[in-house]
Amino acid sequence: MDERLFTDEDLMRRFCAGDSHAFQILYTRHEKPLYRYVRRVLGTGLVTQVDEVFQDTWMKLVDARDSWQPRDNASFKTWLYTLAHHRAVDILRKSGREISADEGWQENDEKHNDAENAWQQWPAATAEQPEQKAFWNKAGQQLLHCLDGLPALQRAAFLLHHEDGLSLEEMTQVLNAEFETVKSRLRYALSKLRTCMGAHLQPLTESEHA
Amino acid sequence: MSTRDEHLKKALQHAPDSDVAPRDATRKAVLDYADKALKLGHKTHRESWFSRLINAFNSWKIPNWQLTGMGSLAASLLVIVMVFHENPNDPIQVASAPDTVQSEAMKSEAGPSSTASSATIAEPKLAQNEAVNGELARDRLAKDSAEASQQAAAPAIAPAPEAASAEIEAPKLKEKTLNHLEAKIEADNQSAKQAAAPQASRIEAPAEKETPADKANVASAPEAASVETEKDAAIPRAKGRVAKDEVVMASPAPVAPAMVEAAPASAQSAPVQMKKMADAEAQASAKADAGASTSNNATEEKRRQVTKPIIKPITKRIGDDSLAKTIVQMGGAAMAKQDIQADKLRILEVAEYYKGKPSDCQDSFMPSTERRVDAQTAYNIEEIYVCVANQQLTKEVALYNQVMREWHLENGI
Repeated sequence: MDERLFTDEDLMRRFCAGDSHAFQILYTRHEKPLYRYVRRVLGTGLVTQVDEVFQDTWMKLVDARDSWQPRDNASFKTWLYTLAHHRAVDILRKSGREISADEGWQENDEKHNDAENAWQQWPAATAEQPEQKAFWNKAGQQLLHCLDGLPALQRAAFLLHHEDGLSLEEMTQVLNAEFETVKSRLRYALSKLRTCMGAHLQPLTESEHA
Repeated sequence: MSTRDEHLKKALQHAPDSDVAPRDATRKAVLDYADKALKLGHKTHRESWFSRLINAFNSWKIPNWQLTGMGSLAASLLVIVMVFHENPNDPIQVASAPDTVQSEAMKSEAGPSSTASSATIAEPKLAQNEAVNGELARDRLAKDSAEASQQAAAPAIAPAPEAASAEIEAPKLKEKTLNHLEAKIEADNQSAKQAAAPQASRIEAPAEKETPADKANVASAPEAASVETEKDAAIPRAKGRVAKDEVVMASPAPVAPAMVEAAPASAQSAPVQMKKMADAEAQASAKADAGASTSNNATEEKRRQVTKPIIKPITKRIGDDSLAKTIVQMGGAAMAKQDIQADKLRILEVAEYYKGKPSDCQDSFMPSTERRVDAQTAYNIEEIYVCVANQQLTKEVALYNQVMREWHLENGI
């Protein structure tokens, strides 16, 4: 039996029916992405809490399996990330971290334009040349640093959209916010990250391009 | 503007933490937890106390009306417990129980009597009686208030069980015997009232507020038209009435023997004794009336009877009422001699203490009085508590005191 033929909802249904193997497949399928999401939302300051939040998320899923009902507008993945997000926000609140998403952010057009210009100096994101790997690794490291500077909810919006591929509609359920609010948070996050990345990451030099 | 930035996405993919994974212990804990949950079935999650409480209520299938009934019952029980817990030995409550029984008994006795009197005496006379009683009530209003305050200060004293049972049983027997006659009495009352209205000249002589017609009747009538004659004439009209009327109106007719015999010896205490006293007094007054030859004397006597409140038996005494019974039975002189032989030297006084209006005197009680000493003999003064004193009692008490004083003059220190 090919496990890939089963959707998350099918596996969850089988798990609710008593199939523990279905849960193992589900867990394996979402283990790393969920763990990364939790780790990045919590940030480097709360890295020690990541395993706790991750474990609590799955245990809560197991406990609430009877109340789970497959719906058209809510996938299993949305539900799973919703549980994880709420648990992470709880930890952030308890730790006293600022989770406000709309803290004062004045978009600097000049910096934004510089970032856009810098983007143009960057290698194309679609294809990756072997010699560009160091650049992207450095970009990835810089991105984590920039993510730590974002408010938690903007960070969550960016990660859900870029890392886990959730749509804006799904993000509204995970973040429990209106569509425009989610969109605004995402736009703020992108703008900040572009500025942050363009300011700290120099574009490839001519020699590096060559 | 696209919401996805490919450059940032690619940078995110190359982030140093892109390959991180939970620890093996975490993975094992999650999978084991899921396995246990499936093996244990359901409800492996920890429920809070509130959720357990809600589930318990949900599983408790009881109709709402039963819950409402149980709640009402619990509230009622709580109120009852609170009421009885507040003052379980309240002397007023304890004493009020026999009072209530006694009052009901008296009502059964006084009700027909008033009905009978209204049947025998015409309406104007009843109005005069009420006026006179009202005056008496006003006269004793101040005394009532003072006694009421004293009673409120002093706890109520419950009557002796024997006296209470006697007082209760006798009126009950009477009531049982007379209840079936009340309807007839009512009918007679109605007929008497109807007859009294157009025949005002044939009504008994009024006491104080005589109508001109009555005065003319009294003045022009010969001796045979005296009050006694009128009473005798009225009696045949009420011939069908029961002896109860005669007893209450203090007529010469004796107390219904059946009632007296039916009551046990102990029960023939206050009511029967005082009925005998009332009968004796009525007989004496009747003799006095017979001796009187003029209509003025008869009218005066009748006025005295009307102005005087109805003498009712002492049926309720919270204090020591044995003196009243004993002195009437033995006679004042004999009792004084007996007390002297027993070296019980004292002076007696008749004291009327009652509750409520004098006209419906039902209760007498013993006020809290200070010890008093007779100035002449230096003997203690003891009061005989009665509701309303009659002449015989007063006379016997006077005889008692006279004998006591004479003995004191002869033998006193």
